[in-house]
Amino acid sequence: MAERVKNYVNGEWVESSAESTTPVVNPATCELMAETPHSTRQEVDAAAEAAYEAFLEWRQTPVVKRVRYLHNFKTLLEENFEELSQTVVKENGKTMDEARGEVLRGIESVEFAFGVPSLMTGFKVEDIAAGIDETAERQPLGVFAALTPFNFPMMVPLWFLPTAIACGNTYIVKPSPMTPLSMNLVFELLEESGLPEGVVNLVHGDAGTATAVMEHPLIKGVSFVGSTHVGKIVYETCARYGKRVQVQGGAKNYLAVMPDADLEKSVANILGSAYGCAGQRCLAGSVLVAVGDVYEPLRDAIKEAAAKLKVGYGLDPETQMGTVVSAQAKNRIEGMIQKGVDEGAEILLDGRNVKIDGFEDGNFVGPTIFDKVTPSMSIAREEIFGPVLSIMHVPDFETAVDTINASRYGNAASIFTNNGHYAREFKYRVNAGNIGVNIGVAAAAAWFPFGGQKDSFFGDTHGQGPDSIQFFTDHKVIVERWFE
Amino acid sequence: MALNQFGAVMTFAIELEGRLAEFYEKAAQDHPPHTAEFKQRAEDARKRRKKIEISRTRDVTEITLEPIDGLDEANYQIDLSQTDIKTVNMAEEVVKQFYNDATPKINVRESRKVLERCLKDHVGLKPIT
Repeated sequence: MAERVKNYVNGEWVESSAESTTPVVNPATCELMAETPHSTRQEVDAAAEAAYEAFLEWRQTPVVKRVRYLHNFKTLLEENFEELSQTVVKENGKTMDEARGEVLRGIESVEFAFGVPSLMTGFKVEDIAAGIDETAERQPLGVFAALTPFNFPMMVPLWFLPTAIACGNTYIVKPSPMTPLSMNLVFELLEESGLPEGVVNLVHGDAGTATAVMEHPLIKGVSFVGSTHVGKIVYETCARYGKRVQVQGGAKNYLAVMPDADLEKSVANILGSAYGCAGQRCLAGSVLVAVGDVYEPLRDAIKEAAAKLKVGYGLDPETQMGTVVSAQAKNRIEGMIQKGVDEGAEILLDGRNVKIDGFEDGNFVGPTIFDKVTPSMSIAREEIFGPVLSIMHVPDFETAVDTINASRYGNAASIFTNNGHYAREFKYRVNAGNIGVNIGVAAAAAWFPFGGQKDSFFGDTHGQGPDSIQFFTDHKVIVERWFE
Repeated sequence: MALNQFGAVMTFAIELEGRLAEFYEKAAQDHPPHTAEFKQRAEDARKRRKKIEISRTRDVTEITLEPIDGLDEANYQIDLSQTDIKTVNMAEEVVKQFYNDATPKINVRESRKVLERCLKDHVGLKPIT
């Protein structure tokens, strides 16, 4: 029987009393590694109350001291870098390079939070009226929570937690039930960093647990990363309960390639975008828009390079593409591939039925390419969240922009070109929150706001960067005068 | 095994320098006239190993992880079981070849610089006579 992962509440590791669980399965080896309890509403209550109690003292802790705990935490993350990366590989299925990249980006989010003493300063105007001064201060709000996905189990919670607590709030993380192990390891390090009890809390669970978080009166705000379908539910529920909310939803990211692009370099980067993390990135390139004459050479080069990608277990150093996260994900992706075939797209490379020696039951889907895709096809419209790239051929730049802007999603879009005019027009006119120029994964670094547009984002302040300071603090304005 | 991505190249370099460090420690014992030289080479190999190890984690750039083509560790195999002078010189030639081939394949500037420095170090070693 697999071990149940524990919750971390008020500075203690506690077993959930939940009866139902989600199995935590290594998606390559199919080994049952643990079970995630679907923590109860009472257990969410306990975490929220502990976090609220801790908040009352934590907000009085000087901000420079709050940040010092994060310095300890960063050191511990670096010391445990390889173990963290391996844990991500084992529970998620990505490659070791991808996991290392994820851990580093998580650390960068901690580094951003080091700047909170400067970033949460207020402002003041003397004599806003005669003898009256006005000051705006930033104050923490209380308890915040994150509902985080399986695709970056270590990095995404760290987009939020370090900044939230540096600002003086306390925090609860509810990770994906499929990938709880990275966060357990991270919380062991948070514990070791010496943070006071209740400042950070970990509650494992499913949708029911998430609902209890969203409805809890002591929780002031929620950050969510996941699908658009669930994201809308989170947005509506949190709004109904009067919470701050930021929802990063699904995506359908377009990569436009102009005839003047450097083909060799573009192809290598497009492969990384479409097949990195087995396509399970909210910034993964999904539709390749070949403009004009570049279509044939681009299609042939992509096909040749994708066919050579070595699929396998992420801990094998030769593996260039790992597994998808679960058998259900594999079935869903393969269903979408079949839909593409049924709707008339031409399949150039079929990643179904991939078998890897020694991992025969693993959830592998090989690189897949569709050609002659039209905007009305499901594979062009719906998020697949797997290693599937759809090629569209358009006559010119204008059509490329129109095609991209017709998508319901707006998380990211990239252009590959050596022409500054096209690059500028693309940046200016494409409706997406993250734009790449000769970069297929337009991921905002920790110091920049990360969020999409249209159905890829709900809320107003994005995750990360200066937006996160705004999300995790409230402005209080003080108007004062003193009599002689 | 194909060295077909950032981590694979860096890991191979880390292991290579680790093996060289051990090799030179043994060579230092086996060749008293060259003890100081080989001890220094062992120490330098350990330092390079550490630098590459740090670069593998601190410089990995998730958004530009791309496949690498045309490198295979089979081309850089060295038998370090003997510490004779001929092996020492041959090993250095293979190591130089590896860094020469691998460095331009790395698309992360900082890591490329680390490997360039390793190449420079190895090129700077005079053959033992």
